[in-house]
Amino acid sequence: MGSITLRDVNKSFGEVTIIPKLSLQIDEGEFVVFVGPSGCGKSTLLRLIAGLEDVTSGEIQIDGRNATELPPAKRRLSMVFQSYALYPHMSVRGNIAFPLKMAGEDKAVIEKKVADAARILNLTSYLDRKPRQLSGGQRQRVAIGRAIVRQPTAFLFDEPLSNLDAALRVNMRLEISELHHQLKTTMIYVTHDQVEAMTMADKIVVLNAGNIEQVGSPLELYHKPRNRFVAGFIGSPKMNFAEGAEAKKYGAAAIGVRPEHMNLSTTGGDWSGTVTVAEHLGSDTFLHVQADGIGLVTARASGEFAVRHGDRVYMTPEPGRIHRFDAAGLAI
Amino acid sequence: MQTRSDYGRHVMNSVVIAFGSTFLGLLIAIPAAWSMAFAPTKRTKDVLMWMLSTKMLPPVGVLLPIYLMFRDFGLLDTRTGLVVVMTLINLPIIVWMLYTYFKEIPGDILEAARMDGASLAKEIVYVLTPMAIPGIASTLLLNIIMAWNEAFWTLNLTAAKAAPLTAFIASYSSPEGLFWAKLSAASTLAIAPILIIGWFSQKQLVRGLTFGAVK
Repeated sequence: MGSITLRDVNKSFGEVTIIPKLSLQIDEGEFVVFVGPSGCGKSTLLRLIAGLEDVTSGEIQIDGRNATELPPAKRRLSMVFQSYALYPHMSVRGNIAFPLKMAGEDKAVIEKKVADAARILNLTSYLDRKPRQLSGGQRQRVAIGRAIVRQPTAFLFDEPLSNLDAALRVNMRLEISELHHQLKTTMIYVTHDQVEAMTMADKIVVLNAGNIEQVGSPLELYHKPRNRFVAGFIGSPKMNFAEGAEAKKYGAAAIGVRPEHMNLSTTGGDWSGTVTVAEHLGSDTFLHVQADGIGLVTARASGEFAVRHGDRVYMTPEPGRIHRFDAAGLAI
Repeated sequence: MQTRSDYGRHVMNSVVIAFGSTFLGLLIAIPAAWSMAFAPTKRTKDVLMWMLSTKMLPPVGVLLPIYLMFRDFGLLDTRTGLVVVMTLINLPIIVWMLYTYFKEIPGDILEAARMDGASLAKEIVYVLTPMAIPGIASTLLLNIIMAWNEAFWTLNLTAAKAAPLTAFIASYSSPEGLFWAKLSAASTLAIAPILIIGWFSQKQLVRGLTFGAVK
């Protein structure tokens, strides 16, 4: 239970095509993350799977059955919205019980399932409160509770953590990953934050302008990006690119080196430049360097690296860690 | 005054017409406003403008056709007939008011209800309506007041049986002369019920009318 297949799915609003033909296989129990810049169609794709938008052409299968024409209520999927979308007039208990009530469950069964969900999500003492009396993190948990009680075929998350502060986001990220291990239900998660994608996913789908750029495990995408877009999008800070003469040395139209794959030195190296900004984080040092003949380059040094704005530094890309791209931007 | 006219019957007629037409109107207008607010088409704005435009037409312009239709259907001087006509003339305002209230409700919440397995009817009953209660309440009150005070149609389409309080007041201005004292007494009796309702519900009414304006 929980496999989803998209076959030649296309979505257009009038003349504007949001998603040109797209096919994708999501296996049972997988944690799949759709990631891409804003406006790339990732939320639209999720809404197509949910049934909140109609596909223009193509087919969506859930558990091998054609669900293209099914209304959202009949797809047995649960969704967690960015805005939480809790029912403001109902208590936490009412919110979590709502999907069960709609399914016509027995009162005693509802009571038990709500209590179970509340216990898993640490909401037991808040059951009688209204959503407006809760903090952002608690609201998000209620939204997740509402999604899990029904034991759906798959969970859909639409940027669920973007409204939370940084510390809470890390916490909730762990909780959702934990929940996935516990429930082993298929999850589809939409985010523009590649750190979330890298840390949570079994499989990442990188989207750009409605097209799938690459599908793979986080480390596959990190080590073997198929093109410049994926290379630049996955990894933080972003990969550095060099074109022209520097790239020609490696027989490519462009080369890419990740900031963490650059050996730094104050005495000598392949590339030289002037530090524009040095960010000392204690555990790492990020240097933004105006490199001669290349442009702005970001480099990471592990631990402390004592340079300041205006200092000269030398950088040597680690051999074997250089990504080469052809004129069309595809990896060689 | 009680000897000359039956105040109780007029009050009953007013109550049936005002409440009946408002409830019937809400029953039609809630789904209509839902579709306009949450599933609009290219023509939604035009439909809304058209509905409003019917309110710009002087009622006397359609008096004759409506009178003839009522005569043929046997609706003259019946409560049913007045409930129908009152529903129709107030429907554009009910739809417009509800539409503006519904627009304030985040679509996400209704989509969440759909994902949670609610059918369209359940979505409207369990989620949309409770969230729009202040708006629906003020629409309801305003329409009861409008239907209660409406005089043109009630005077023209009723004679005795279904005559509401407006006809009761008007009966004191007759060709034999104006009976000022009785007219005043009748007016006071006519506005009393609605004044009392309005007094008790003013808080809700103000909240509803400013719903969405102050956030």
